[in-house]
Amino acid sequence: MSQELLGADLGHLEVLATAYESAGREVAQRADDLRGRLGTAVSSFQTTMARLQSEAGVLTMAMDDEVAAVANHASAVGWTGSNRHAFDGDLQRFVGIVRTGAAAIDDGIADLRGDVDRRFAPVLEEFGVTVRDAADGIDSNTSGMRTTITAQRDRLDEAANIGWSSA
Amino acid sequence: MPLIGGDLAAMAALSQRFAAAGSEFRTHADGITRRVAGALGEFGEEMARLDRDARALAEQIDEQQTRLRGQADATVWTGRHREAQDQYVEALGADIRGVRSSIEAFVDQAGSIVNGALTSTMTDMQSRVTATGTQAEATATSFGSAVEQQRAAFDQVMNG
Repeated sequence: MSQELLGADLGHLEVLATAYESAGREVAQRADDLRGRLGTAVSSFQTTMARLQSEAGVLTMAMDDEVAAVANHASAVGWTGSNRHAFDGDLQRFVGIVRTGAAAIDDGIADLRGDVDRRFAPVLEEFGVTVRDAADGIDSNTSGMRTTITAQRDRLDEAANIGWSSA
Repeated sequence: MPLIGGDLAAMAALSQRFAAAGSEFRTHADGITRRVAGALGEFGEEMARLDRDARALAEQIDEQQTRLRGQADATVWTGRHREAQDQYVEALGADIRGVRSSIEAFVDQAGSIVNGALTSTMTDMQSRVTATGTQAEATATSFGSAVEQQRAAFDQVMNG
């Protein structure tokens, strides 16, 4: 049985370490970019929701004013009889429907904003931690790989290039 | 005995105002709801783009891992120190595969949030607003008709 060759292609080892370092950092960077894009999308969505909620509030106030104006208008109309009483009762029902609808918009937007904050914050946080941990691991392992390669190269250099003395 | 009757012109104006109030509410409520749905739709589209990009990145990582593994296997280095190198290669591969798994979990979670809870909340809001908007408009229109009928009845009794 022949003895296995002992040695290394040091240039190849350097290239490999560089390839891993470059690949690892690129993956971590691109993953972090994805996280950033989701964060931006969430932030943009929340900004839009805040604006729409503000508009819903304005609509609620405008409709409150409008139904109050209609009620005032109705009370100022000369109209007697029991049908008038029925009308007044129905007017109150109309006010209730409008307020229910306005509240549904306000509640719906508030629920969406709350859902987005509550559900995406931990996802973004968890992913961010994973990517950072991976980036740290890649740095650490690449550094270890380079240290090993450098030490091996120095020792190979010493073994192969130093100490020869011809007879 | 109290006076029975009505101011016909004022009743006609009230009828129109009522109908306008109901219609205005429905128009504005529908408008805001559509814009909320539009914002959620855009958010969903961005999530879909993120999902596509993340899956493309995952595939690139797979290809990159295969290439790096081949490169590592082809590296000439014998002896026990090679084992230390192999451990680093394994650890780096695990780090990169870990990021890949996290990306998949990340986009799956984000997608399920948009397609699940957010869409459900949006659908619920839309149906409630649509129902109340329709109800408000129908009620206002009905009131307007009732006022108009009352006005016509007075007109008929007093002038017909």
